[in-house]
Amino acid sequence: MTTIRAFTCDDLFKFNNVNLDPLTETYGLPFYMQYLAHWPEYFQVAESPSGEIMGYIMGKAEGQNENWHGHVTALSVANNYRRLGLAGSLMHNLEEISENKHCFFVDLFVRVSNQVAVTMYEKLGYSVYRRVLEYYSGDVDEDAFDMRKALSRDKEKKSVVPLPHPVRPEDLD
Amino acid sequence: MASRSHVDVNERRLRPIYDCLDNGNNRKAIQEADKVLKKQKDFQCAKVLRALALLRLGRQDESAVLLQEVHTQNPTDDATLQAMSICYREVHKLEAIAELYENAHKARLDNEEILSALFMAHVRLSNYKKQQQTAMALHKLRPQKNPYYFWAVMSNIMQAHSSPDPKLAKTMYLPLAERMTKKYVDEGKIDAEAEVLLYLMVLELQEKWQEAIDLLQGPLGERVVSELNMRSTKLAELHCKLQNWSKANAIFRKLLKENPDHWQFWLSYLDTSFRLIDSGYTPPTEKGEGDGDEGEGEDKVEDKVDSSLEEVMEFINERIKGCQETTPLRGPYLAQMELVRIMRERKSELLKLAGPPSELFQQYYDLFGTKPCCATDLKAYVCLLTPEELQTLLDKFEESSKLTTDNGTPVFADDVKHICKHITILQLSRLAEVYGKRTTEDLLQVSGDLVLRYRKGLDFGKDLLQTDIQPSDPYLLLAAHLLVDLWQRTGQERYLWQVVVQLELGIRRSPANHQFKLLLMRLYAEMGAFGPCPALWNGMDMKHIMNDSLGYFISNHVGRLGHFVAACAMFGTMLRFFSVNHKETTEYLLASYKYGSFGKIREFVDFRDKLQRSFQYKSASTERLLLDLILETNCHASTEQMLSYIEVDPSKERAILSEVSDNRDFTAMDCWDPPSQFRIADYKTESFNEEKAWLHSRDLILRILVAAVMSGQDKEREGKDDASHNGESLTNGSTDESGKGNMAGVVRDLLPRFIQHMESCAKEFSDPKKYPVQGPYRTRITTYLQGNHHQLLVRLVQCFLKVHHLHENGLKNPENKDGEILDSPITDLLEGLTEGSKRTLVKEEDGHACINVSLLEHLIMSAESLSFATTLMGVCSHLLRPLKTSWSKQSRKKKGQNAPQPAVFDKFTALVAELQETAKSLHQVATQFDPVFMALDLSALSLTETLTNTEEESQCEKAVWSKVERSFQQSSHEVCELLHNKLQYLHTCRV
Repeated sequence: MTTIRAFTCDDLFKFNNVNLDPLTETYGLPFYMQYLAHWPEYFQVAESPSGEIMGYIMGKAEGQNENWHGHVTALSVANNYRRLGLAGSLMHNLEEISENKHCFFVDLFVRVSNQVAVTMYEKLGYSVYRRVLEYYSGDVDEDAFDMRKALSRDKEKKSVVPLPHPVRPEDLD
Repeated sequence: MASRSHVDVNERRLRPIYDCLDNGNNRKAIQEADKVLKKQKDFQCAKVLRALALLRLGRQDESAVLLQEVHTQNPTDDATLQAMSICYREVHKLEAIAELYENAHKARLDNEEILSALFMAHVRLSNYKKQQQTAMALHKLRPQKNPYYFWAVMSNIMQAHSSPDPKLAKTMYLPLAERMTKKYVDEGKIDAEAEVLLYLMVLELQEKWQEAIDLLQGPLGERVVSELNMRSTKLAELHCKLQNWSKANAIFRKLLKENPDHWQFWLSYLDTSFRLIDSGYTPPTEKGEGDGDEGEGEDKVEDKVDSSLEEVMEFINERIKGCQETTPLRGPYLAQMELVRIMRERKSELLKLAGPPSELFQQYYDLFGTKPCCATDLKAYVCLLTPEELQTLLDKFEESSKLTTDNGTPVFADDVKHICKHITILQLSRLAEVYGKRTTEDLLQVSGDLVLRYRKGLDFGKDLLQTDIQPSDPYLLLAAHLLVDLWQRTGQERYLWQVVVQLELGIRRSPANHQFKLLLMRLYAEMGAFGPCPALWNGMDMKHIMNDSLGYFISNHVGRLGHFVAACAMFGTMLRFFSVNHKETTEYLLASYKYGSFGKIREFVDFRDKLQRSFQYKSASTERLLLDLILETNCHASTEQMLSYIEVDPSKERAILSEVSDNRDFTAMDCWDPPSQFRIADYKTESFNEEKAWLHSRDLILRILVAAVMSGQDKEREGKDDASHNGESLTNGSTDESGKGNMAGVVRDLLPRFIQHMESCAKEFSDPKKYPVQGPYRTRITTYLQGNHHQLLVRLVQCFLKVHHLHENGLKNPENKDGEILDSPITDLLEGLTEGSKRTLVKEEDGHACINVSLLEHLIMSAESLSFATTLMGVCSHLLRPLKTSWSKQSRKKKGQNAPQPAVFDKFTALVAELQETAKSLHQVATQFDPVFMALDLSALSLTETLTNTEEESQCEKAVWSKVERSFQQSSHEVCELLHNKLQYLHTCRV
């Protein structure tokens, strides 16, 4: 029992329970507003019956030609609402939206250490396309997996053929 | 215009300046600009870039002169205009940008870029009328570009949205927006989804539900694809508006088939079904087969409507069956309970058909008991069971969990799922008020048991990352809640200290657990120790909007507990968030127009407004200003200096209390208290009222003090009024005439308002408000009233007014009341300040040592009041000194007469002396509050209730006490320093 609906500015006041998770970054307002202004349909929130925010997904569509794809910028679910398949539903919606936009694939970045997330994405049909070196900055920089899932438009699944070598963040297209 | 090659030359010459600016090398940028200007002294763009570099070096005045110079020349080239926009944006002179482009537009009427920049300039200013006119001009210039036309439509909507007269919105702006859009619809010129959505918005704002339905069902409706299910959801909502319950029901029914977990759909589906039942709806006969209780034929009927209880139950059961084969979804199961809840509310005779609620609970527990949200889900339905039924059920759960403690030896869970199930039972037990009836010993025993289970459960989380929380953490949280209960029940703080120790241990194992940290912060603050809070706060990576929604964790305590340095820093961070975001959120309005996300524009405007009117903002800025006023000042001159920095106009309301927005989030902390006892919505309202009352008091105090100090500057200020422009006046466009003139008059005006406000507060807040630890925290208003701090202020302000009167009218004024500077003495009030403080840090109660928590708040407040008093004494002495000089001169002239000195001087000196005595006593008390100075070892006083008595626990306890000691020491030092300053200050006040 989850209401998935469009994220609105007012949700920013109450998403603390989700964002206090250490792997969920709280960005400055311009970051959220940029997404709300540009890709409002890609920013969705899951709400519990009591009005609590259970989690949210933030994404966009970008790229040229065969690189036209949906991208998951942030996906986070509050501790109390994990293991309900919520992340899966939110991802599924994002894929649907990307299908509607005739994207070729959906991609996302995840910390290589975040095994739980990597396994979950694999279950949802994502595979590691390439490794991005020192993508996450912190006390110790951490690599990211760039994971992808082909959509129906990419019939031969060309977009998900893994790259043999890791890339540096500045070489990302 | 210059030739093309000329432009290229210019570009090449400017390049080095741009590069320097991009690299942040502003000094070099100025040099480069000077070089260019040497060759071409009228090069506008070079001048503006020079101005930008100056601005970034903090040389605002020089920059402004240069900008003004170029501005009056009405520049028209893109580079200059853009650079000027950047400058103006940085100094938040948004009006100047509009003016700039307005002028440029006049010179280059057919330039699309300039006109479009002008439109955006008006967007920044929320000047909707001009926005609309500019958009239409753009449309005329480029009629084939749809976006411009729809910018105009949207600007009309914004005019409606902001119109103070709702009639005007209804009769003029919205119909105009509709006509404009309809024209494009009729002419087949609509080509984007955004335009259809905009049309839908216009229709909805006018409550033209049927037209909106027609739009969505028509060919244009097919363009609405971006947001999933938007078309059907909108249609269903519109049908609800028209009370077409059957149509809405059919849509929600269909949506639920695809999304059986969508709670809002369930609520709407149930609501529409009951509306149909109430209206005695009968399905149209031609569709015959759809109506019965048999579900088989149903799928063939696209628009099946459920208008009887049997059909609803059938539908829910089918959804349950549908998801049983895959993974069970919570939605349909909870819909069952919601149905029972509605039927119970309606006293439906068919209630028994839905089955006994305890069975539904059992089923839900069996299916979802291992999920961390199980108890939260059931929270709303606990009311369906009698306490006895609930108890029986809980006993059953407990028995089946096989974790009950037999003859003292606990049985521990075998795996993580087992732990989760047990935690669900415990959370439900708390919701069911099971613990309220237990004895103190019982509860201590239970919390000890939970702590053991927590520790044992840590075995299952050994391989987890630092960023994960331990599966057994909720045990510890529940134990903490029980001990907090005990504290509330007995008033004995040693239970709270035990929670602190346990939670400190908890975050060592689960540094990611913010539930522990939030509760810890609250408890430390509760016990008077703010010291450990900043580390916890920063450890949770609190930033950006959290300053607003969770800032109350800081702002309720940091000043109250005398951590002034931390207060300045933390309020400073908060205020930066608010001021930066006002600028930045505006930029995203522009983006919404660019991308055609018109639906977000009103949302952004309202959001920006909510931040601007945020209570947290107003409160943090008032508290910060009060701190600025008293912290660093040790003589009247330094106070005057401070005033020139803080720019407060005391004649103006700083916040309109009725419009202040409560953005605080109280859902961040987990709480399993029974809903009947934990009424968070009520607490929020009550506390907001209290907060506003306190904010109003603080605001009045601030303005009275500022006005009083300014009144001493009145004379010097005359003739230099023009020097007083600041950022504020730019948005108003005019300087305030009532301004600096008569500040004593402002004090005279504010004083009765303060008195009246405090009288009304005394009626409402004479007893301190009590809220649960997961709720808001009381303000300091009760402490303030009980200590009669307001009376002290009032008397001293009256004293100031008399002195000011003497200053204005001379000692030989007609009434000649120079001796009456105080109608009633303040000795009693001052004694109150120190009397209450003459207690010790550690006291004994019921045979237990405990910390005298309220003492600290009292001490801080007294020191604060004394500081306010000192500020007023400073002005008084400033006003009296010339009087004394002229009296001395006169009496010297009339040698031999030996006239007695006017009484006012002696009386004032006595008053100052009295305040000095108070400051010294407070200083004495503050010193005693330093545990180190007093050689107090808090950890040796057994202030903590021991729970499990392990080595680790006692070490952690020691660490906690050392943190607390340091915190008290910090408070003591800061108050001492403040008082020391005030003693110096008072020393300078002698006349």
